[in-house]
Amino acid sequence: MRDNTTSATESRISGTRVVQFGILAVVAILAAAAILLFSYLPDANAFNEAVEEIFVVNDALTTTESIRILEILAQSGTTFSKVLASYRAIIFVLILFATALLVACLVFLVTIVTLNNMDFKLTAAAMETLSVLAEARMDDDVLSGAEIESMVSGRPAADCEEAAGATRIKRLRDTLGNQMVSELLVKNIARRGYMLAIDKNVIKMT
Amino acid sequence: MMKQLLLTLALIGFASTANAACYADYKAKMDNPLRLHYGVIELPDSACSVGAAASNIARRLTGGWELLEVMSVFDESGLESRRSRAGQYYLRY
Repeated sequence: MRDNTTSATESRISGTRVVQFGILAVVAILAAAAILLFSYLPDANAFNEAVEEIFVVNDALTTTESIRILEILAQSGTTFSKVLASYRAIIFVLILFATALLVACLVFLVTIVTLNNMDFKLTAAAMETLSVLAEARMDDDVLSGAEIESMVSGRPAADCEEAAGATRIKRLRDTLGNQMVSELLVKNIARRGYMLAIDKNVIKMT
Repeated sequence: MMKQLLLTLALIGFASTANAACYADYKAKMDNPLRLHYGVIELPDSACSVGAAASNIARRLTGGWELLEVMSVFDESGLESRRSRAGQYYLRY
């Protein structure tokens, strides 16, 4: 029991570390993406500078009409750059969403891994019951109490009592439930004592 | 015949030095929103070259106009061909 509790605590600590590193990595990558996004899009003046260069390089574009057309070109470029700026904002919001989703996925993943990594110490009898149930589960079978008792004890099912199988199930449930609750809810800290494994903010007195 | 030609050339040369007026055409811009213009401007004799004209013109342009380039320097004979292109900026500054 003490071994169990210690390993659960360790896995929780390493899990917390994985979550912290993961969140940091996700945030760092997406922050870099955001910086690149903002630095690589052309600024609002890029179009004006391009039009200005066309005007300087081409001496033929000096009539009033062609100058007017160049100005209109610059204005439409400016309008387009405003559109680009709004795209940039949208992309940035999407990046924020992606960050949030990745962080949430990581947290859920680690939670699931922690649940799957729980170790249980079972008595020989409970182990037998569990293996009978697991075998039946693989064949998609449902077992009655008498059938369970017959498979464990080796006697024919007709000679077994339903209550004996029910007792085996009850014992298995008790020991599994106890250990699950002791790992997830009522913690045993080695050599120190017992503690509720919950955030103290979630306790409400009514 | 040759003499006559030389005389004509000399007369033309004299005439042009007599009307030593100096002009330049230039390109200018104004930001936000971008506006451009092509203009013709009169220069003092002291600044009668493409290089020297730039600072002179840049100083005289007002109202937010910024000089982009001095295209060429010419005398009165070049005025008429540029008048319509320069439009309202013909000898304005």
